[in-house]
This record gives sequence, structure tokens and C-alpha cells, in this order.
Amino acid sequence: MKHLCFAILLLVGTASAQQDRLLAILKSDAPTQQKSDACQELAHIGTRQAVPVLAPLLADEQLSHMARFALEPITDPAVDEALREALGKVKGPSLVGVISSLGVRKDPAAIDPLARLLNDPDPAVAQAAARALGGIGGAAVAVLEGVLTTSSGPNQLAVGDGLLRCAEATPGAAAAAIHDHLRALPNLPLQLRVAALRGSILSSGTPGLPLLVETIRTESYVPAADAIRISMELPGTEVTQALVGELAAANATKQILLIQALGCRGDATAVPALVPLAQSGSVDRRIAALHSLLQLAAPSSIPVLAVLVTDPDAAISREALAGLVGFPGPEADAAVVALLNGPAPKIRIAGINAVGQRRIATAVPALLKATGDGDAEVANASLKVLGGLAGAPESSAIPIFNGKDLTGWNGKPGWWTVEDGALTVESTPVKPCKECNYLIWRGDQPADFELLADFKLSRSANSGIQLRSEERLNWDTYGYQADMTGDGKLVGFVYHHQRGLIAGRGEKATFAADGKKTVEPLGDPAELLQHFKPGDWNTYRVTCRGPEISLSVNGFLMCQITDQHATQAATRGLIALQMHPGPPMKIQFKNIRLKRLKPD
Amino acid sequence: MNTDPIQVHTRRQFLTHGAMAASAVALPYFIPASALGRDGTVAPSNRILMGGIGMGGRGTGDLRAMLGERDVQFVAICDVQKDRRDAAKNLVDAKNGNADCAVYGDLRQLLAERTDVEGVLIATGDRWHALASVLAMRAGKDVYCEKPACLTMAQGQRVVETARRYGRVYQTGAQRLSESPHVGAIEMARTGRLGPIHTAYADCRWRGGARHDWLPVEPQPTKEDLDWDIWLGPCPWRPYNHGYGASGWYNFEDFATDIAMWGAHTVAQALAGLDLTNVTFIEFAYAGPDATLVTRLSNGVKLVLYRQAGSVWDPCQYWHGSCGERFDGPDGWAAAADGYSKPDVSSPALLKEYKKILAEYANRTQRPMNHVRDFFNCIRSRRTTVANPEVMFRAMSICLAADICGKLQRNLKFDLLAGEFTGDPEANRLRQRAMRAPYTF
Repeated sequence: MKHLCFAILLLVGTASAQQDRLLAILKSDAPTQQKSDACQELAHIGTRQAVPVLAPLLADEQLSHMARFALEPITDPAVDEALREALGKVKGPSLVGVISSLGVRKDPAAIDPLARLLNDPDPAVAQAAARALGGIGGAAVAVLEGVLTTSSGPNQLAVGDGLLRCAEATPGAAAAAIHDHLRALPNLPLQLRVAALRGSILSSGTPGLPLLVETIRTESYVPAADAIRISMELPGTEVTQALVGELAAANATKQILLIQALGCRGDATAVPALVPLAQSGSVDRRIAALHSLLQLAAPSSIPVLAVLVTDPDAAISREALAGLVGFPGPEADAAVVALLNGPAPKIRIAGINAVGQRRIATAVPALLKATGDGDAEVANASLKVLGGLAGAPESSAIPIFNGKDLTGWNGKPGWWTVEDGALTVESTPVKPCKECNYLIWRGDQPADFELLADFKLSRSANSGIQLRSEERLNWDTYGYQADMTGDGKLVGFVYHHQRGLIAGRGEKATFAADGKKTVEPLGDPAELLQHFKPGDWNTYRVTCRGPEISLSVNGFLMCQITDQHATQAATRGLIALQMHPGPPMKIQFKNIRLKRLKPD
Repeated sequence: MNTDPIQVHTRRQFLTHGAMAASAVALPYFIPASALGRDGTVAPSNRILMGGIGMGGRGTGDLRAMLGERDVQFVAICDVQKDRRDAAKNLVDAKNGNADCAVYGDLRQLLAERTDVEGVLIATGDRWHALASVLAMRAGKDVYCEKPACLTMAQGQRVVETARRYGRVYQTGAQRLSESPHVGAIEMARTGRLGPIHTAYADCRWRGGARHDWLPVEPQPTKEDLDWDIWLGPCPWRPYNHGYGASGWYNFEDFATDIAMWGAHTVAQALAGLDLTNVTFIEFAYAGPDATLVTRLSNGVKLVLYRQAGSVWDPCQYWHGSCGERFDGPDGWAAAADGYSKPDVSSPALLKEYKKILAEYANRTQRPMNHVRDFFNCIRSRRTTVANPEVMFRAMSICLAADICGKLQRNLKFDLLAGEFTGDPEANRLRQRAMRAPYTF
């Protein structure tokens, strides 16, 4: 405690010495720059002791501002006294500055001397006095009201501004009186009238409502628009309903303002009034109403939107659809999915795309059904969205092959077909395969996922499923492969285009950042091979999560890698199926399903 | 209603959600007619008449963006520098197909004479932003003002008060609040997709506003070529040197801010992603002159004002490029910076939601992904802008408090409701700078 006291004393002492040094500069014949800098420092640390040194500088044209710079933040009342005294001594811009500082300091003792300046022949002085009085408030109100009607032009604007500021610092009823008084004056400049109207309405609360409504009803656009703006500052269902009540009688422009204000208010009691306006009338008004309905986001608007999606007016249809896509809550999901049953292909496609944007995982059956749509564009849109949805977090496994054609996949022309509901590729003595080609899935490049695929290989076949891979020229790829051969020898191996067979069946392999590989046994390779059925359908389950990749065949874990390789490990990439060169062979895949996993 | 407690007054805030969307609907919906001269009696035109004040590099960029809006017409240009006002006039005249754009050297003259002008673009040097905004709004103009909106908290508060008092539309030029990648990251945080956010980051790497020296005296140009007194405006007087022009003034405390200058580019975005309900204060832990400033909101959330030696354009651990923000929550993170086409996120699944997130945002706010367009929409609808005075003031208060923390080199606690530092009178003194007459409020 003793130390602390000492430290404080030391600090105070240092600050005091610092102030003495700065005041000495001000009293000397130091150059302006040095004195200016001293004032800036005094603004931080100056005290009552600085006031007698700074006060004379208020009359120094060159340093008057800097004296105020130092004085304004000093809380001591000596500053107010010095500023008031300066009022009678300084002239021109320096006087304006001193007046402004008295306003900043809200010095009530300055009201009388400032009042005497309200009729100063220099308009800059008169206006500064009015604005300063506005900052001080209290008894300044009567002073300002006294000159309100006798002043004009910019002076009157300053007096009005001062009064408005006073009102803002005054409680409700008294504030309303100031505003009402101001508003009652004829020929008031428009900006003051608007401000006074706002003040009258807001400071009297709900009782201000009749005034609000009356102003909205005025023929002139400007006050009506201002009243509608003010309504956005007034909460309450009463206000909402008052605006609703004005809709019918308002002209077209005012109606749109009202509609927009109703959207901004966030009060859903406006919805029933907005619905018919969104349904019929001019396009501009309908869109304004539609947008306000979207802002209010009441579930009861969803069926309205669903109908408007089919509106003959393109703009309405587009806005309604965009609105459904962004509508919060599951109720809108159902409305979007229902669009898939729409009569027009255009609407069905719009619905499918909306399903994709909203990521509606429960829409998968509807999308699957749509892949069989008679309209090819609808079917294609559906497949595309299905592929994208496979990326939904922890979604159920979603088919990425439709069992009918190559939609969503893309490979070397002349090789891949669909046969018996399976993706099929075959080489023959007359059509040998000279170099690898891959059928690439175009839906996504997933990072963490589970892929399930049934595969069937002829005895001599060699194939594989690319994971987290990159595309190369000529339908080639690069990266990890869940390997497979018809004889089973490479089933349950992870192959990599750069690193070769990086994990064998029954191995748990780990790659360090520097590429160093360590292997632990996971099972007996020969025993595991027993689970593979040569010449028949088998199921690969590939799981990629973080640095881990594991392969299972027919439900049995075959191998696993943990890849931390600094340059070779891939965290995401494409999925593809391999056609391998070699003797004639036939390769088939079906039931290809993808499930996105959340990373750990 | 918005229940956000961080505001200047206890008075009800403007609603923050509003009407007109980025839709492709033909403009104009309806007529603007806020101009004083029209007084609601003359049939208003379908164009918003604008004046441009401060036409340097940034101002010219803003001007070009605004000239691209087909319902906007500039009729007056103001700059203290003759070559700048002439160049801007040429741009405007070329767009209008005539030679009618008026030029002014003194914005006070423009504001007093041009009652036909409904809105002004203010892109002066930072020292003039707050005063020019207040003078324009008092004259009944709507205001689009470049960032930072003020040099002091006291100035910022006057902007907020004046906009409210006169019912003016005011947009601070934090244009990233209207850019999809930033909005995407903000909405991922705001909607809880990342879990409750525990840390938000804002890029504050640019340095400025630290110098106190005077450059050597040079002969003052003629008032016609460059009115030095108006150029200085509310700042302390100093003799002319051409080096303050262009962006030289950035480096001087009299004319600029330090952390606040770059924070004005990013902190509003970081705050937009946070739940600030019931946030009452923010604590600043001083860590050194160039160090990242870790602040803590009263709800426990950390707001990191990120600093680091080197260029703001360099990649850093949180984003690549300038003006980034990032949000960290237990379920993931999202970040955006300049040059992004979409946010950077912790998992691809989040990015799959990007379009939906933007659609939800558009529904909720009906705002366009175009900052100047939002301003013009609001001039028409009279609703409040996306970067409205409250959004501006909240961000600037924190930025300026950070500057004061840096200046005093000690920990500070800032009461956001009272707008003052707790238990630190010296810090409270730095919330204002006396303005040079006649350039006062």
C-alpha cells in the first residue's frame, strides 16, 4: 500500500512537472508549432493550473483554437469562467470558437451572455450562439423560443436546431411542447418542420398516432413520406394497423411507401392486408407487397408464395421463387418440394433447383422420382441436384448413379455404357484397351464421405475407384484408388498413382509428414480374401474422414491408412471409376451411393 | 424491434430491417421528393439529384459507382482543389451529356444554394467527414459518407443525433456490408451455423495517424486552386505543404486516426456477425505499440483487432488479402476478405449452405448486394440503411477507443451504454477534439 501511494504521488508529480514545462512553453516566445503541440498535450493532462495561461491565448488569432483544444477537456469550472470572460473580448472566428466551446461544455451560466449574442450582426456569431444554447438546454429553451420568429434564413435554422437539441435532452411532455410550438409556426423551413413533426409524434408516444395518420393523409408527398418514415420508429400493433388502414385510400406512390414500411416494422399483423396486394394490382405494388411478406416471414404466406411462383408475370414468379428459397423454417421445404409435382417443366426445374439451394435432404425420394421425368431437362436437373445433396452433412446415403444412363458422369467416348442397370465398360480382342481411362463423377469433390458401390469383375479384370483424386488430361486421374482385380489379388488395397500400393489387405498403414511409412497388422490377408466373391457382385465401402481412409468389402474391414504425407496427402477430390489396359475384361458398377460425413 | 443496447441514446432505434430488394424490378418504384426546393408541391422527377463533395481518388471511385445507377443524376460537385472539381465535373457532364454540372470550392455554399440536391456523396479527407455530414443533414440532404465517419467519438455522436433529428438517410461507406462473401461469413456467424461465436477478428493492419511534425512551409496556393483554410477545416492550423495532399494526410494525427482508420474498414463487419444483445462494455488489453489488440465484450466474446508488421495485402493466418474478418465458434469458422468470391469456411458442408444463406439474408433484409444501391433505395423508401448511423457509431466507438488505448498504453474498459471509459478520466478526455472555428458543429 505504501508503495502504491508512493507510485501515485510520483505519477502526479510527473504529470505536474510535465504541465509546468508545457505552460512555460506557452508563456515563452516559442514558435507557433511548439505552442500548438503544447496545447495538444495539455488536452490530455491539463488542470485548473493551466487555465490562467491558456485563457489569454483565446484572443490570439493564431492560437485561439489550440487554447480551446486544451481547455475543452479540462473539467474544472474555471474553464467555463474563462470562456465566458472571453466572450466580451474576442472577435470573429475566435469568438465563434469560444461560443462553440461553451456549448460543448454545456455551461448553464453561459445562457445569459450567449442570449445577448443571438442578435449579433455577424450571422456566424448569432448562429454559433443558438447552437451552443441548444447544447446547454434547460433555461435556454425560453431564450431560443424568444427569437424563433424574429430570426430568419440560416439564423432561424440554427435557432430551430438548438431548440430541437434542447427537446432531445428533455423528458416527454416538455419535449412535445417544444416540438408542438415549433411546428405551429407558419413558414418554417421544411427540414425544421419535418424534425418537429417527428419530435411531436415520437415524444407523445401513442397519442401521436392521430397526428401521424393525419400527416400521411396530406396530399403533399413530402410530409406524407416523412410521416411514413417516422412510423418506422414507432413500435406497436396499433401503429401497424393504422398504416394498414391508410392503404386503401392512398395513391399509388404512397401505397408502396406504406407497404414497404409495413415490411420493415416486422409486425406480422400486417400480413392479411399485404397478401391481396401481392396477388393483384400493378406489378410494382405486387412486388413491394411480396417483398414485405418475405420480410415478415409468416408461415401463412408460404401457400401464397407457392401460387405466385406460377404467376404469368415473370418478375412476380422469379421473386416468389427467390422468396421461397430464402424463407425460414421447414414449412417452406414442403412448399418447395411440392413444386416438383407442378404441371409445367419450368416450374418443376425451378422447384428442383430450389430444393438444391435449400439443401432439403428429405426431398431425395421426390428427386429420384424426378430423374424419371418425361422431360429430359427436368431429369437432368434432378440428377444434378441429387449429386449436390449427397454433400449434405450426415445425410443418408444418396444414389449418384441413376441406373439408367450416364447422367452426372463423364468418360472417354465409346467406352462406358449402362447395361442391366449397371455402369459397364468392356474391352475385347477387337477393341483392346491401350491406356487407362476413367469415368468421372461430376457431382462434387467431397472431402469426408462414405462411398458404397457394388462391383462385378470378369476374371482378368483390373479396376478401381478413385477417391480424393485430381483430373488429368484424356480421362486420366491422379490420387488414391480403392483397388480391385477379378482374381481378388488387389481387392482391399489402396493404390496411389505416385506412391504405388500404399496399403495392402490386412494392413493399417501410417504415413508421417516426411513420407515415412509404418505398418501394423489389421488381419490376415488370405483370410480377408475369403470374403470376396470372384465373378459375382461385391460391395466396396470406402470411408474417408480427415487423414483416414478405410476400405471394407462385403462388410469386412480390409485395410486402413492414415496419411499425413506433407505433399502427397489429399483432403478432397473427385470420384472416378477405372478402365484398365490389359487382356479383354469386363467391369460393372451399380448401387453407387454417397454419404457426406462431418469431419471429426 | 431491435433491442440492441449499444446506442447513443435510449431512444428507440430505427428498425434495422427494411423494404426494397436487389430485385431486377424496373426502377423507379416511385418518386423521390425529399428535396427542400420541391417542397412536395412540384411534381418530382424520377431521378435522385446528387452533389459530390470531396473528389479525390476514393471520391471519384464512389462517383463512378453512383453514376452507374440509372435513377441518379449528379448536378453539383465540390472540392477545395480546382483540378479535382474540374475532373469530377467532366465525368458528370460526360454522363449527363451536357456541361451543366455546377462546381463549388466550399461545401457550405453548395449546401446553402442547391436546394434541388437531395443527397450528397461525401468523400473528403477523414478530417471533414463528420462535420460535412452534419452540415448536409441539417440542410435536409441525405448522406453517403466515406469511412471513417469521424475522428472522435464526440463527432460520431453528432452524426447519429443529426440523422435522427432530421430524419435523414445516412450510409457510412462500409461497403463490405453489402458484398456477398462478407455477408455470407457474417450470416454464418449470426445465424448460429458456427455455434455461439467466441472470437471475431477484424483486420486493422494499416498504420496511420501517428505523426505530429509539421512539413516545411511552402507558398500557399491561391484560394481558387486550393483553399488551404477549408482544406484544414476543423483541424489545428498548420502551414501549407503539398505533401499533406493526395494521401499524405493519412500519416498525421491531426488529420486522421490510427487503428480506427483501418478498423473503420472491418470492425463493422465483425460486429455484424455477433449477438450484441445485452453487451454493455468492452475491455481493451494493451499489448504493445504494434501488437494485435485483443478486446473482450461483456458477454465474454473476444473481438481481436488484428495487427501485424507488413502489408495489409499480405495473406495472414486468418485470411488472404486486405480487410478481412473472421468468426470462430465451436462448430466451425468463416472468414472473408477482399478478392474473395465466397467465404472461407472450416468445412465444405458450410459452403454448401452459402446460396441459401444469401437467400435468407435477402428475404430478411430486402437489401441489395450493392452498397450505393442500398443508399439510393433508402432515399426512396426512407427506411434506414444497412450501414446506418448506429452501425457506424458502434464500430467507430470501438475503433476510437482502441486508438485511445494505444495512445495511453494501458488497459481500458469502455462502457458502451454511457459512451465513456470507466474509471479513466484521461481516456475520457480523448473522446473529443475541439474544432477550429468556423468549422464547428
